[in-house]
Amino acid sequence: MSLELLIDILIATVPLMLIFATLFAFTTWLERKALARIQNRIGPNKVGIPCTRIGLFGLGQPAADGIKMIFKENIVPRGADRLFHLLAPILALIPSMLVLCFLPLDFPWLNENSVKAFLLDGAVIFFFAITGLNTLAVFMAGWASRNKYSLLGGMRAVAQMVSYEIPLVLSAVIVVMMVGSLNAGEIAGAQKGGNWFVFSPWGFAAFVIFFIAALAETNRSPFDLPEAESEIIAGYFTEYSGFKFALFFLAEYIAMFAISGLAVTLFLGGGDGPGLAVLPWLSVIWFLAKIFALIAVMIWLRGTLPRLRVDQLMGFAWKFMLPLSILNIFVAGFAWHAEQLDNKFIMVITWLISLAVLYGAASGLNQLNRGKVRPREYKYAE
Amino acid sequence: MNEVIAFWILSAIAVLGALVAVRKRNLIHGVFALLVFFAGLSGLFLLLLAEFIAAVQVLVYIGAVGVLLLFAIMLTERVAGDDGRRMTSRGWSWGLVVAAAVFVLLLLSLWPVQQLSMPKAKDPSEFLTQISDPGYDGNSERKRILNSVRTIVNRWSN
Amino acid sequence: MRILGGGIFKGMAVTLRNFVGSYINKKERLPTNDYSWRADGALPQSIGDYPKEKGEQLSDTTTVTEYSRNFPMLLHDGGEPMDTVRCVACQICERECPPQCIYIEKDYDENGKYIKRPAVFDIDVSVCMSCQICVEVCPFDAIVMNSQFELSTPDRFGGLLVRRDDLLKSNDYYHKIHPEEAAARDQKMAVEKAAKEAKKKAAAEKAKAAAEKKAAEAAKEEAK
Repeated sequence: MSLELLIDILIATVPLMLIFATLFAFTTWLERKALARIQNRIGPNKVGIPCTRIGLFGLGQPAADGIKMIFKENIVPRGADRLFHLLAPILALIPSMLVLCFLPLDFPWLNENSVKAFLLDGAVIFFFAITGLNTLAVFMAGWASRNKYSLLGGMRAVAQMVSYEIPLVLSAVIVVMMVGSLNAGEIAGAQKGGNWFVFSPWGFAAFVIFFIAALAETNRSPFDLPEAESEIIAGYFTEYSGFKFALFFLAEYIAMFAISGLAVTLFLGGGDGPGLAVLPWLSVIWFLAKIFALIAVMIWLRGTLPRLRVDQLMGFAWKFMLPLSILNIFVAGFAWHAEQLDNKFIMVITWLISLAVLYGAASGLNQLNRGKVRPREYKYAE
Repeated sequence: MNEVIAFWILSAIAVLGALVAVRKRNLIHGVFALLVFFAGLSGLFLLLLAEFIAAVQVLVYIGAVGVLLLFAIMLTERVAGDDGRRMTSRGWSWGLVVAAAVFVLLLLSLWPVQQLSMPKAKDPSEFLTQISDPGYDGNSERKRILNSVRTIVNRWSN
Repeated sequence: MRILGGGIFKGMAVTLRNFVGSYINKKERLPTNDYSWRADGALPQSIGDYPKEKGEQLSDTTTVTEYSRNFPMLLHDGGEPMDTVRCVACQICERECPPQCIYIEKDYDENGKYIKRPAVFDIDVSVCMSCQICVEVCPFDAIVMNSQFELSTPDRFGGLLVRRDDLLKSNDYYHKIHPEEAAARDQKMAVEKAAKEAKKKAAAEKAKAAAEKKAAEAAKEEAK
């Protein structure tokens, strides 16, 4: 292997890892602060500069957490599968780190000869393929811990991730259809100049489906059943402590960044934004800012919505999201043909019709799936 | 040279994974070994410049088939998957004969390829700069795959 | 017409109001930091404000908002707690409790006769999930929610099990921490009691009438 190639690969990958690991630390702090404020608390505000009483709004909290995690005892339960117990957090982290390469982040230090994985012909397919490995890590962790709560969490996670991967991929298909390419760079390039996919009825519907499915894929609230604290302790990482636990935590947040990054690439125009003509490197800033906007919405939703029940979760995936995303593919197909005619009037008509069809289908499905509300029944009291 | 090293490493991973998958008595261990085999296979596809097939290999085999197998194991009575029953049946020798026959058949079907003239193998660095090229043409994939298959078979048989 | 997904946006508006409000209106929005019981009444400014000194507690539950419901308590109607306790140890709450954190034993006098009160009534703090189902199912209005929040203890075995005598609180205390709810409950109990008494009275009158009739019949019989 030539040295230049090695340097090229390192230039392409190391900054990604550093940037997203730093963002992870900041996001944990941000999430705790935001959730605290939503619940009318103050949140972490004690850890600042060591040996002084300067709080700095608790910005030192991630560092303190990290130090604590590293020095905590590594406990493996008796009867656990020691090898798999060790492998699971690593297997959870690797795919989430790996898929970051497929985000079209055009760093200023990359030139034409640099390795850019997002320009692969199958970048989007690779993204979905590699994110799918997370499921295995979760199951591995749940099974290797030899704990019924861990196993329950693992089973829930597998069922949930398999169900929500279908609407996730089907909503991404719309963008792939419209652009005619699986190349992440091309998809972002096709949305240059504010021509984002989210600004069309089918694109908006696909974005909403994608975002909801992404919440479920990353086990975020309100779909955090695999780690439901009040039901199964901490789900699949109940038996993890110390640095292995930190790795799971890191993997979860990096996966959040990755899937938000894909949402930005597919629907929110990638690095598109004002001021790009003057400063081309601004595209990275725009990209990261959009990712952060999506993360902020995720945190906001976590502070707002209660957790779903297992049957509601499955029903929502299979009875609501799946039919809607399939219908959306047909709508997008017709819209694509209408776009080929290059006629303003036809486009307006198409917009109105697709809006009506999608909204009608969504509310119709909602009506069909609406469960009967009954008062709570007690077994023993009168 | 690089791609030969990569080929041997990946095929060693694949073969070892397959062997462990067959030999392990613990079902879950067996499934994960099988997934290692699939991953090695996906790496081999990547080496053949067939990135789409590699991605689909990961998506379908590791993502879907692996999860399906895990589901099947989970829903059977022994969830732990560590019972001591022997996983091999009495007729294993017949299975070996059938497997060997299929292997020989496949090898025979590939044999005539050796007679063809061999194009020179590509350098991986060339491959990486090529895929990072925006004008990279994915449509000539088939031809390239065919060439690479020939190269590898050629190496194997020499 | 209701907009699809509108409920989510309504909820998000509420949380946004809380989020922004906690920066603007600190006194009202950060009630757990209400240090009004302290002489200076100031919000904590820097590290190390709670508890101010070692061993200091915020145990006065009246400083908490009246909508706080944290952990169950047993009500008695004043005086000696065990004489006026409303609980009759019927064990409905014990069986209905989803995480099974309540443990009740009935009380018997020396003759082995069941007296309507609990001998043991324990609730495990570490298991209780503050769901209030015990409050909903109790037919005697004996168990209600307290707003006591300082439940942490250095003793992880005995200390997390709250015993009967610690759970017992007077109705006056209930009125102090949850005035609206307590008043409503008292009224409901009064109505129920009146209905019961009316029913009893009616039954007694009926019985009396029956007895009179019987007596009259007997007299008639005798007269024959």
